[in-house]
Amino acid sequence: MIHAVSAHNQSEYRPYLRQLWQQRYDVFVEKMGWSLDCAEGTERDQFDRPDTVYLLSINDDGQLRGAMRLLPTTKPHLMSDLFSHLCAKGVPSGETVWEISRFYSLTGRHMMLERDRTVSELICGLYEYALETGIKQVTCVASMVLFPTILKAGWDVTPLGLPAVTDDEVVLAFLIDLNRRDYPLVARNRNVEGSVLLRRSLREEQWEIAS
Amino acid sequence: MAELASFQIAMDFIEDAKMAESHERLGHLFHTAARKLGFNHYACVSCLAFDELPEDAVFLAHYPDDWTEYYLENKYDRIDRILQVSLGSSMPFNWDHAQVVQGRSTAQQRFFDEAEDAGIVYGVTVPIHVVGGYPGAVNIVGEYHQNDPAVEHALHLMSVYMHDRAVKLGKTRAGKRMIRQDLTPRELECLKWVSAGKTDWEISCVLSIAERTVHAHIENAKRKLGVHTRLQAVVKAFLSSGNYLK
Repeated sequence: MIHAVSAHNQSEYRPYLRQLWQQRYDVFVEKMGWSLDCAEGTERDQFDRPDTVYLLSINDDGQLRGAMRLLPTTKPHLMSDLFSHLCAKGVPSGETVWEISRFYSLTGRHMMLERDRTVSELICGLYEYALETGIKQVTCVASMVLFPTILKAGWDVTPLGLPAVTDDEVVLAFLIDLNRRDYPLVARNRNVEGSVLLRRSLREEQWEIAS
Repeated sequence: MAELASFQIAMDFIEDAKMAESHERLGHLFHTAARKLGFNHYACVSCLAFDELPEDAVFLAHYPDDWTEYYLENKYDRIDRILQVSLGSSMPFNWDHAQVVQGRSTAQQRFFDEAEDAGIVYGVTVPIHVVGGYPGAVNIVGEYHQNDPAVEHALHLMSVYMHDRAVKLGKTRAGKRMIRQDLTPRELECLKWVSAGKTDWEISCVLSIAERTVHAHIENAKRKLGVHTRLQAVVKAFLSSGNYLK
C-alpha cells in the first residue's frame, strides 16, 4: 500500500520518516555512491521541508520498502536550484506541476525491475495521488541508463533538454504527463489491479473533492 | 551544431514519434531527423543473431541496399565489432572510440574497409538495455567523421525513443500478424535471390521473367510485410517467420 505523508499527517508517521532517512542513506549514498551532503547514516536535505510530500510503500507487515519525494515547483526544488542547466527552455513550474526525487525500492539492484511490486505500487500510487490532488505533471532528473526503462512504463514522457554529464553520469531532465488516458495502460503494464493508495492518508478536503 | 538546435531536432522527432502508428512512419521520421544532424543511414535492432530473430525482436533500418544484402549474406552480425562493443556498453559511443578502433581482428578490419566502400564511414551507436527486454542498439551512420557532443546527445535521446516506440508498435503488430496475407511462392523466390545479393535484372534471368515483374513481386512482398526496404523484407520473410532460406 502507498501512504501519502504530508504536513497534516506527518506526526503519525514519525518512525517511518526516521526509517526513510536511513534507507535513503543506504540506497543513495552507500549503494549508488551519490556525493550528498549529509550526516553519517541519515540522508536528509534542505528540500525535506514541512510542505514536502512523501509517498511511502509500506507492505502488509508494516515495513517500509520504498519511497519517493514530491516537491511543489512553486517553491525551491532540485530542478530550480541544482539542475536548471538541464532544462533548455526554462524550469517548468506551477500549481499543477510537482517534482519527484529520491525514488527507490529496497527490493533489488534493478530498481525498475518489472516484477518489483514496490516500484509498481509507487508508480501507480503516484498516478492515483496526482489524479486525486490535481497534480497534472511531474518533473524529474534521472540517469540515462534508467531512461529506457522509465519510458517503457507507458506514460507520456517529454525531455526538457539534452542529456548532460554530471558527476560521471549522463542525466536527463524530463516531464511526465500524468493524465487519465494513460493510467490504465501503465497499471496494466505494471500488473496492478485496483487502487494502491491508502485513502485515509489523504487530507480530508482532498478526499471530499475526490468523492 | 548549437545545443538548442540539435535539441529542437530531437524534440520534433520525439513528439512525432509518440504519434507514429507504423514502423514505416517511425523509420521515416527517424531518418529525416538523423539527416538533419548529418547522418544518412540508421539501423535500430535487437542485438540477437539476425538469422534467428524472434517475432518480437526489433529490426528497422535504412542502410544502402547492396550493403545490407552483402552483410546478411556474409553473416557479418557474427563479427560486427559495433554490435560487440554495444552489448558491453551502457552509454553511447562513436566509431572513433578506442574500443571500436583498437584490437580489431583481420576479419573485422576487412569488414570496416568494406563498409567504408559502401558509404558507411562513421557512426554513433546507442546501446539500449531495458530490464525485461532484448538488448538493442541504434546505429546512426554517415559518410564523414564528426565529433559533436550536442549532436551525439540528441541522437542518444532520439534513439531511446525510437527503440521504445519500435518495441511497442511491434507488440500491437504481433497480434495482427496472424491475419497478414501470405507471400506467394514467386514473391518468396524473388526475396530468396535478393538475400543472395542478386539484382532485379539477375533475378529476372534466373527465373526467366521480366525485370519489371521481379520488381513488382518484391514491391508486393514489401507491402504485405509492411516494411520499406528490401533488407527488412528479407529479414521478415525468411528469418523471423519460419520460412528458411534454401
